[in-house]
Amino acid sequence: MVEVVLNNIFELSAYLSPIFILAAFAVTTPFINYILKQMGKEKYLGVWTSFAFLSSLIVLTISLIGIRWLGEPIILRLGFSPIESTLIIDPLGQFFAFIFLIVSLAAAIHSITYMERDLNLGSYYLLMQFMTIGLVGLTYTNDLFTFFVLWELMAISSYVLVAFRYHLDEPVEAGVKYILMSGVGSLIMLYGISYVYGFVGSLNAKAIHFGLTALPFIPLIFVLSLLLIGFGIKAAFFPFWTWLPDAHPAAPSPISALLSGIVIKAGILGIIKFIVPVVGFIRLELGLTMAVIAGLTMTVANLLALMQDDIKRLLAYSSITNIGFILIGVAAAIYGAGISGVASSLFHTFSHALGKGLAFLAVGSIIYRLETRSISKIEGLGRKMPFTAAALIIALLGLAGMPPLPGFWSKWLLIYSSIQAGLWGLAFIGVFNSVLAVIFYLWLLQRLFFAEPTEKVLDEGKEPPFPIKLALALLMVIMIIIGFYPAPIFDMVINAAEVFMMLFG
Amino acid sequence: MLLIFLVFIPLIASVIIYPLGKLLKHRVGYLASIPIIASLSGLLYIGIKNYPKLEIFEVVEWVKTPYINVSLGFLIDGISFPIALIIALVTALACIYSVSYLEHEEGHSAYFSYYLIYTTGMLGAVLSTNLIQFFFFWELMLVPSYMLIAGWGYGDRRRVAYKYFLYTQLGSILVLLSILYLGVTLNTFEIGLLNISNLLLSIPERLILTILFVVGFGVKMAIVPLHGWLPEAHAEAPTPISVILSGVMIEVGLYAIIRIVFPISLPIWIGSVSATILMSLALLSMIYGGIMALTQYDVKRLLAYSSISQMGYMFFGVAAATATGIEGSVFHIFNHGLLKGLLFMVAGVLIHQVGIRDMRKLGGLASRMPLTAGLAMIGAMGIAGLPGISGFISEYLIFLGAFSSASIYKYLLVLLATLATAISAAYMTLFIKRVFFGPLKEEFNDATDPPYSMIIPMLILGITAVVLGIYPALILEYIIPSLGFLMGG
Repeated sequence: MVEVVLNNIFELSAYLSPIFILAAFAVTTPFINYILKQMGKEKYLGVWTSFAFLSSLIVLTISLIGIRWLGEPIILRLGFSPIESTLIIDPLGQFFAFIFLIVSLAAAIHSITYMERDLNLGSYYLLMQFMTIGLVGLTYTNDLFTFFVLWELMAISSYVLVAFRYHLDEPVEAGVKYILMSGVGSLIMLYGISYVYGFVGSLNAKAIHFGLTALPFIPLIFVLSLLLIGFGIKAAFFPFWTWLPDAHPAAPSPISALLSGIVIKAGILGIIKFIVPVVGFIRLELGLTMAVIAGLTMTVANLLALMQDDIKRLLAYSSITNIGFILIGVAAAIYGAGISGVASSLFHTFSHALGKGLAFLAVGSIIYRLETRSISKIEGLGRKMPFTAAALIIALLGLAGMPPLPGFWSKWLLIYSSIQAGLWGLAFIGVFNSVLAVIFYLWLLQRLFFAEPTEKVLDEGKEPPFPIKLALALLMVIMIIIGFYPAPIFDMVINAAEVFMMLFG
Repeated sequence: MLLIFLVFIPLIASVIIYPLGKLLKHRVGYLASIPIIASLSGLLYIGIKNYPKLEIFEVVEWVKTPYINVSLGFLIDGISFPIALIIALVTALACIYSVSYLEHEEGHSAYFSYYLIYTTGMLGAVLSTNLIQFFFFWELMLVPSYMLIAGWGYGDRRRVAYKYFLYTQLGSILVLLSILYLGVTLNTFEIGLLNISNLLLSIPERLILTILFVVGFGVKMAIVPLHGWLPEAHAEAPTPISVILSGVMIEVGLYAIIRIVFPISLPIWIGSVSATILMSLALLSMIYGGIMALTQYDVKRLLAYSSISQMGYMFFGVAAATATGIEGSVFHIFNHGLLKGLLFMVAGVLIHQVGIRDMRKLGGLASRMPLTAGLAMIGAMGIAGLPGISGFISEYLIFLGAFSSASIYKYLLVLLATLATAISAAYMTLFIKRVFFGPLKEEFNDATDPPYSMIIPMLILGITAVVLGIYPALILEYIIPSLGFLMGG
């Protein structure tokens, strides 16, 4: 571990270039918006936003390779900070940042056409950029204070984005529900953080690790529950998932892709960063609890998904199911599988972020043309919009764990790690739910491809314009390449898990 | 790199075939057969060059981390060679056969793309050297075959395809859990190491794994209590796909049992009790499939039930757990691919030329389509086990192997199995008689033999079956050297 003390903002920006690039673009966005508005070409702000994400992604990729060369994480101590806030550049965070930026890029490209009929595009893209800054920033945090600040930046942007079409009823209702639930979650988390500070005297991850594991049973359980509820409401696992099936479908499709694809993963990031290392002697109890939560989350959401006719709601429920899958890895990691557990969680985070992002963007393409979300009205879509339907199906089969797609690799890794940890029941429930998911995705596939096209599809069905196609193709190509050649992702997740576990001895 | 090329060339070609299908319509099938023929020629080249002792192994890194190691390896030996060969042969021929068959259908691009992915899935599963890799290809077969049935089948095709998918997927759960359990306990996924590392497994573990694997693979093989999906799926699939489903795909399950389950469960497998149980299961398939076939009027359903019965024979040889029995089973996989492929193609000819599948409405066609009738005779005689056609040799070997099995009831079991052969002869004779002989109905006066693109694939299958019936050593010589290793020797 290398420790660097930073004294001024310039040094900081050298280490945190992906974030600073995003911030620089975000600051200039209002001016660009003004200029474009004068020219009457407001929709090209999407190109600007995509460019912001793309350049940040490129810089990140370069630094990702750099970190592999260095081989050890860098801790940045902010010399000018009064609360001893530290940041960390480690493979785990970089991996999350990588996922966040890819999905954001696709969503921004998709927005170029999808949002062309909306007003206030300036604030839409600005909020989108702020949300991404919050998310990418979270991956660098090494203490709960910074984490909380960036968490709120991300959360507040997402509240507004859910209710972005405020002239409609559904988004506003969903937005209010979302802000209530999520706001309470943030408060509970803040309460938990204050207890952590009280017990440990510091919010630094390393200090928390030593301080909390030395606590007696009751206070430790209390603090961990508060934190877990805080993260859990955002990650939408059982029993805190109720806001998600309302909020995610109500948002504009690219925002749904971001919310379901990456925003809920922030909760997972928090759990891995701050809860997995501190379990100490309650390892078995907490592992079992997480296993039960994972099992219930998967099963309940899967059964509810079976009954949906609204395709976005179905995808939202499927997101909850997949959070359950990711928790299998967390439970296994806590219970005893260690590195392979964390690695499998990371891998499934990747598969699900891309898969669910792609699914929501494909649905966005359907909504753009047909303006309906009802599955019974879009039957036979494969006849008129084969590319869109294929994207949706690849996304869904990828999530269901069919080869040659990333879900195949992450799912067996999850089951493998749970068997390794000795959580047999969880392995069974996981496989069972995986099949249940395949069953209902297949049922959807059947209706999209082989049913007789409805009149609406025959009349209005047409492939989407180029930007949407580009966004879909971007994610599809990455998924298929990783499906056939998963070695890079395996390398990254195993390395990330290894370095992360090493940090805490 | 030859083996990797062999497996992946159809998959790579599928990307090229898709856009071409829009231009060339159904004729793109001729192009689609080229990559499969390339795989076939590669296999033949390997076979001829290394006659008769085959042992070719190729491996590249796929996923290599300190904790999980999944290599992409391909192995051709005496067991996998005949099966890979028949897969390549039947898929190549059925691809050419599809061209005329699909003239009046839509969506040729998608059809042939799925078809090629399907081929890669089967070839890859058979040649795999790694359990995860095997499972990858095993699942890769599923989606394209599902799409082919649901998209181009007959009757209630969507429900049938869904049922097929469900059954297979439920079987896959058991396979996946067992594979991962093996991986965790043995700390390796290499199939080649199972022989040695299985010492780490206790007897109860082996027993449970064997049951899980046999049930899991049994669904794909359609062993009798697990056969529910097969009659419908094979009957309602488009005929070239029925050829593949019945001719080669279900046999991949049996191959997996020989390759994966045998090494870990040999000590319990060769016991008397387990041999009796497994052989009785196989016998049940044989007799049940045979009797159900006797009662069918639909040509394709008859052939589908016949596949269940024939799968019983192949499983009988494996269940006996003797070298001769397995030799017979592997050879029967090859022969069944030839013969059942041929017979399903005959059924396809009936659908294409006459448009009728119901045997009650057919009759006397031998005078109008002599070539088809002759080929159907070869297929029927082969399935019935008449000497002169390759099916006879393999059935003989299976029974011979069963005689030396550990079961104390082996004589009774073999006796009953011979009786089942009589049932096979009966339903095959009925099929030939009802379709090709008897008085010619008037509406069939203009019926003719099908176009060349359909008749030539059938001719190739028929001739191969006869040649192997006279000189079976062509294939058997490859199988024998690998048996010793398999039996733990």
